[in-house]
Amino acid sequence: MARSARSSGEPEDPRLAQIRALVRATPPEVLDRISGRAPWRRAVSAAWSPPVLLVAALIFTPLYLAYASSAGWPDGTMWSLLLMAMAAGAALTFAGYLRVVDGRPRLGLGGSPCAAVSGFFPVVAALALATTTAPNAAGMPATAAGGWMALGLVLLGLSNRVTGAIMCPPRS
Amino acid sequence: MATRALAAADFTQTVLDNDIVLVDFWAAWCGPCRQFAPVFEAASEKHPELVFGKVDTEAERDLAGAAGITSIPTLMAFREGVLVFSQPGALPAAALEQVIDGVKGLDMAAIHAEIAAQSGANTAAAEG
Repeated sequence: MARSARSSGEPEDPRLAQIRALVRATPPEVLDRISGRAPWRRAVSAAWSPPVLLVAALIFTPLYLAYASSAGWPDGTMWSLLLMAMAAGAALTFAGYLRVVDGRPRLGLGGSPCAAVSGFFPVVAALALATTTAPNAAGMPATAAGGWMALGLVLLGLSNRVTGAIMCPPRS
Repeated sequence: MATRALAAADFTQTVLDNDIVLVDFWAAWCGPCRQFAPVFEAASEKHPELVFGKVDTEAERDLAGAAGITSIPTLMAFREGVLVFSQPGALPAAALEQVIDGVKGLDMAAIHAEIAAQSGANTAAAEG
């Protein structure tokens, strides 16, 4: 529903542009305050919408299973629970990068096309890292598996901002 | 006053020409919309001084898209041409009355000032 038949580049119907401007004139923060809605609820639903969470779960569940099995998951150690928490954190962080505002991914930066493009590099790099460091047949020690997961999460967040800062300098 | 159907052609004018306008975005196939429809209709009879508009999102897809509708039913309330309430989900009668009372009781001078301040802050944040 609510699909627009307008193709990109085609000028928008001025009546629709007026409606869009009318609806967007009130900032969401003001709407929250008028409605008595806690601001974090809008932030959470915007950052982690169900489709985005589904994508993140599809990506991170196999990673979790791979790491957890190498960390003693079949034996029921506590590491599997810790890894589950780490994987959930990684999935939520990744889902936050996929947040879409006005049809463009924000990727935790500023929502500009430049920021969106630059944000993909660390995501791809992190996925490549996760793939190449998958546990081998002999199994990875639990501490190493957990460490890689945590380190990957931190690097993902940092590199996202670093590439954004390098590629998308603040406008003067 | 009963509800009136709104389309892209008269949406903006209706909102701007009336003090308080409530708009129900709905679709025929949507169960909660059918559940909310009589509640909305009854409220329109009870508050003839307000405008109760209905947008069929199937017939007015571009309008629904422009209004940023992502789920239905969604109830919007405008006062003095300003969007002051927007929430998806079917409201029970008591909750709708609460929304109407809330909209009537708004200090619009303060709302206008707050919107101006928040818009300025958002613009500055986007540029920084």
